[in-house]
Amino acid sequence: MRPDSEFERLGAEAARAGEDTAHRVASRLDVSKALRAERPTTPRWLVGAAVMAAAALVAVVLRISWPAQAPAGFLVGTAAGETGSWVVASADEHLLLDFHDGSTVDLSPLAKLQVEALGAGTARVQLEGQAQIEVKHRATTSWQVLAGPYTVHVTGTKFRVSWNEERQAFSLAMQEGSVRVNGPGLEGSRQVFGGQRLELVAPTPAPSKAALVPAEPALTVAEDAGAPQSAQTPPRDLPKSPQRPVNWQSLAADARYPEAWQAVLALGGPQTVLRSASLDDALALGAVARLTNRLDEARSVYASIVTRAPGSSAATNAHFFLGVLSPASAATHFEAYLQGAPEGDFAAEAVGRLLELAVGSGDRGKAMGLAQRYLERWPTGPHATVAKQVAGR
Amino acid sequence: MSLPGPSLRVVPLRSPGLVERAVAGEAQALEALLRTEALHVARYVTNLLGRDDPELDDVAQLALTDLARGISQLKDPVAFVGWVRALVVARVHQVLRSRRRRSWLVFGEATEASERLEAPDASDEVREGVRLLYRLLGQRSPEERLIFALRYVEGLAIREVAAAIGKSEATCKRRLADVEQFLRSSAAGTALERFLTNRGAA
Repeated sequence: MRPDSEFERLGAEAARAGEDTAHRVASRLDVSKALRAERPTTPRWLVGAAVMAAAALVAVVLRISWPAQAPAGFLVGTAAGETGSWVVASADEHLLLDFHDGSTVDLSPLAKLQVEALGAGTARVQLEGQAQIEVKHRATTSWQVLAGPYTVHVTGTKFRVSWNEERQAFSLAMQEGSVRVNGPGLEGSRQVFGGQRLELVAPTPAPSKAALVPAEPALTVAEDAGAPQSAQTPPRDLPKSPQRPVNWQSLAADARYPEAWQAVLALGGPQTVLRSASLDDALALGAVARLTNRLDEARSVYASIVTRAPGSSAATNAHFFLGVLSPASAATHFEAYLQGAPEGDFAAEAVGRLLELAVGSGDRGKAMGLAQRYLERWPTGPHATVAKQVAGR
Repeated sequence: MSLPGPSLRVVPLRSPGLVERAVAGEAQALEALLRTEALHVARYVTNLLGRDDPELDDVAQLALTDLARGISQLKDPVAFVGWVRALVVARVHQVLRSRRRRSWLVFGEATEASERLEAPDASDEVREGVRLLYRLLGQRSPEERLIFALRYVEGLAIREVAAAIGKSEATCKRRLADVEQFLRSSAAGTALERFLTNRGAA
């Protein structure tokens, strides 16, 4: 990154010039309307009328272009797609397909896809290569994604799927919802849920070659997510264990936290489980409690880790979550975390939260120091905007 | 024009535990969270679309609605800050793509309709330069526009821009270079040219 390039300076000026506008826009935002989850009405009736007219015109065009019983179509980039034709992404570009019902297929470079059949809420597509697919759920939605000898049955969900013809390898990473998969190596079909990944090599006579594993963990917004809703993956402090029997740990690893919590209760509750839990399992137990909003129990679990193994990596991580969960002692815990793991997974968040706390307490000197520390280490991190303002940059 | 000195008023504070309570479905916590995040959302939208965009209010309201609707899906509250940014980027991207698709039905360029400069809070020189910048960016594809704004106005690294847009780093760099070249050539003889060259020495 070139320091102080003309465009960096220009961008900084644009950000500064927009600061007061952002404040005014923020002051006009209607929180009640957002809570009611209503779409805002445009203040400019003329634009609204134009959009309605456009919609009506599009509807007319659709009726003329497509059969009335199947008002279905899709765009490849900005051009109309054609059923039965293959579309291929270039070597270094993703290619986006937008379907009439709001579903999307994002083809990775060199991937290709053919829409074999398309109806109202139904589609059958053939895929080679990798694609990120989001199917909008409606009562009649039914999609089939054919990837080599495998078929993914979809009723509305978000997932990444790939078929490598050369290696005969099928891969499916679920982000939201669930799908059903048929194909070699699977007895009947296999249901795959959000947070799970299914990898198969065909032809595979024995189902043992199918491995159902948790999705890769990620602490922050996943780089391959493409949309904020797909950014949710199990936290890094959860244990990974591909072939565990169904117990609270495996449920937690699959991001099925409410079920994991019920399993913990069935074992006698968190304190009982803690007595025989490893440090990793204890951290996972804290995550299950935290992510099912049992905040008191989560605090208790993390506090017990700190007491049981002070100075350990698990205790350091527990300090971070105690900081998140304990307003009164948050600063102490974040500082303890940073002392134990100055470059740890949560270091940026810990410094950012300490910065927020310093600002909230009016400690200008401490806020300035933290802001400078944050910007030096994470100049584009999530708290960078706040840090820049505190630092006056 | 420069930023004011260290200022505490611009930092909306999020109470510890607020995100967790909102995720858990506590209505009061969600309302408090939305009030706290309103400025962040407005700032992201303003930086991506430009301060003179006629739909700033609507897009920011949509993004805030997205936040309210999606918060229950946030599985790890620790990731909240980055999640909000990604959410706003996705919403702005959708709006820009939508504008592009319907542009053939609309008379004129939607993004240029406004002279909605509400207060003399920036010098005329800066205001004109920034206005021209976003007008020119409006002539590029939504992806290119977002790549430029994320890289230079939001100040993200190329790797982060690529992740936010869903393109490769190489593609982002190439697109960025194209936009830079376009801006340089388009700015010749305008206020933006003076802005680019004169501001550098400031």
